[in-house]
Amino acid sequence: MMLFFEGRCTGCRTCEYICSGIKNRAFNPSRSAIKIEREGIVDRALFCNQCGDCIEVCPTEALYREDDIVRLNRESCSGCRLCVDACTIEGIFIDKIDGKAVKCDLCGECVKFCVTHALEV
Amino acid sequence: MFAGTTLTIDLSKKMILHTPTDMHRARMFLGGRGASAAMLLECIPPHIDPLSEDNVLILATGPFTGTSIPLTSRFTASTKSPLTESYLDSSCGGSFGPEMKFAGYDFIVIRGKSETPCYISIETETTQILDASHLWGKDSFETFDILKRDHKGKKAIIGRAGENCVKYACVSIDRFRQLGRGGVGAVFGSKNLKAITVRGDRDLEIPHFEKFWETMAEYHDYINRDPWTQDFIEAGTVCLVEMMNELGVMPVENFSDGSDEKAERIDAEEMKKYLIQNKTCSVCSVQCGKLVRSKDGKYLEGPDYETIGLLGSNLGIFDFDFIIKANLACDDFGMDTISVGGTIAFAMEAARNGLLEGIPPFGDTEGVMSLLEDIALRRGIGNLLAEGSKIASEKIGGKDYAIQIKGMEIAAYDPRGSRGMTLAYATADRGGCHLRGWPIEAEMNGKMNRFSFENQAAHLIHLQHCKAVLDSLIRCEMVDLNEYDLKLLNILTDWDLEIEDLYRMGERIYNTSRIFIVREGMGRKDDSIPKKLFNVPVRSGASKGHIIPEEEFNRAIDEYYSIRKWDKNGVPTREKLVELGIDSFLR
Repeated sequence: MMLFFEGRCTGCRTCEYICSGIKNRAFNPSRSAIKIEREGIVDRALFCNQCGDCIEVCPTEALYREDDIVRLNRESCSGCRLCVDACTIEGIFIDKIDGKAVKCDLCGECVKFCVTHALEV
Repeated sequence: MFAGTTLTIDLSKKMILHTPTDMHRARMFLGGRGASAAMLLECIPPHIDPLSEDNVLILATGPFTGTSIPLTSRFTASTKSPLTESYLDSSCGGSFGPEMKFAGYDFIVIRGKSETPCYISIETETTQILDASHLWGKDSFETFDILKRDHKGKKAIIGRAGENCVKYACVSIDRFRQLGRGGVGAVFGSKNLKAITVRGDRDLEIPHFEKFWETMAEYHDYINRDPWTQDFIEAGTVCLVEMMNELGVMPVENFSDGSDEKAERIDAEEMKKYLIQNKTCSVCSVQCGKLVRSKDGKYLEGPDYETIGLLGSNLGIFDFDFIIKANLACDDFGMDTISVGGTIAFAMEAARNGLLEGIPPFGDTEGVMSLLEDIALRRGIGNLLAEGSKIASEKIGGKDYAIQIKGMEIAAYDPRGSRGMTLAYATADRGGCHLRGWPIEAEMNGKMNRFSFENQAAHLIHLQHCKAVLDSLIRCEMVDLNEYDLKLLNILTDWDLEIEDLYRMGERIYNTSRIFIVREGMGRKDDSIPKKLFNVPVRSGASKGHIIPEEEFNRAIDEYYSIRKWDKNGVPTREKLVELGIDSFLR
């Protein structure tokens, strides 16, 4: 499980760059599985907490659990957005380039670059 | 790495044009400040009025923009400055630059003038020129809140100072970052351009992925180990208050003194009483942004050292809470804190000597607050001060009190305590600027003698070239240019450059902006410092009694020109321009 400590986040969004870069071999924060949203002076991270509520609503069984991680088989994903609607913490997104779901698979790459330890595994 | 497209928007003709980015130019000048300097020379004829529709504004990213290379979120705005009537580039962090790149653009060129207030909305597929009549007359923060409802992404906004063409009006990026110096905001205002919003979701593909990723990750470690990074994490640039006060170069009462025992009321320890949290630009671990809260509950990312110097000690004010509020007011009206502070200090000294009336005395916080509003709205005496200290002093007298170079008020380092900064200000292409080379660092760590011009010219020239490269990559100057920059540039572009090639690019960029300056009729007479600094010694502190000896200064300028292969008047020789491959700019 990945944890976010709000008071430590400087809003640098390096996690978004790293996530989109490592997953797509291209930088594009809009495709990241973690998003930093600034509201007033507070930076908040949105990402999957691996609760699995989305698994039940997925009509193509693209979402499944493997140990503690909820995984996504992108080939099976139809981009129906039911998982996005079912997620209560805004932790799963739709990729604008290919129209399929994007979610955190706890690869931990963003955590390595988070110098203030706002993200921890 | 380039997005490949340049967007041109003509506000007079309501025309939007896409052209391929000139890769030959990129190979010569990189992006950002360098490429824009070349573009300005090509598209602006000499002697145009900077506030007319003839002026052109170029927003630029560089090959590093939009990547995860640390400290690379900055972008530049280049134009002819209404403050100096000459060359200008101004840069800014945040994440407007990366967003431009993700929208698909390396450069955004804005020409002409809209007949009515407008703003520009740029998204990945569409660019629109939209009506801004509902925004005109509003300051930056309110405009941001309104635009936020309809536009995601990043916003560049002017307040009322920009609308009123205050000569040093700035552009705010979202809330807390500014294209600060030289009046880019006034150029926006003169074009009836209230704001630009930009949002993008294109991929920036990473070439040579494994090699890039490994080098980029090492670079993050390198930056995190840099000693300056630790200082900035601790206190941002506010750490400089104590250092500069001890050196005797912190401006006090319009550069009358270089230190003050009350400096502890505006230093890093004092700042921590207001500090909520560190904040940063995109992809940056240096964390120089300090989110502070004023006593009446207002938030600001800042103030930085220069603002503390120019809106604080140089006005005889040692009150951190006031400096936060004054900084916020400047950001909201959209005015450069350095130039407005320098101009008010000029007015205070002029008033003390009987040249002006109705100006608050040094130390009067309420008076300064109300004068800031008068200037932004060009009300009463504010209308004169909105022209900057150079023009104001030409109109009412007191030229010796106008601490400006080429029309731009100098930053918060008293030249009399730093020969390096003296030369850096005098030869800075955009005027009295501390960001073309910062030799005071070498003076602080003992590598250079701060009271001697010996070797200063050669040292400064190298720094100026490094900075020109950083501003064109674009990477923030908080960490010096280094081998990682070179390695990553080569990986991203498939170029095969050596570090010497980068220095040569820096020299080419510096000579290109110099051609612009010379073309406007500026030269040796303008590469000088205010008379006060030649004649009046520093009152107290570690620089007590020091002036700049004028003859030594002149010899240092001679040496500087000679190393640069510029003639006695500061004009680059044809031989030098041929060597740099830019003699075609000499028409």
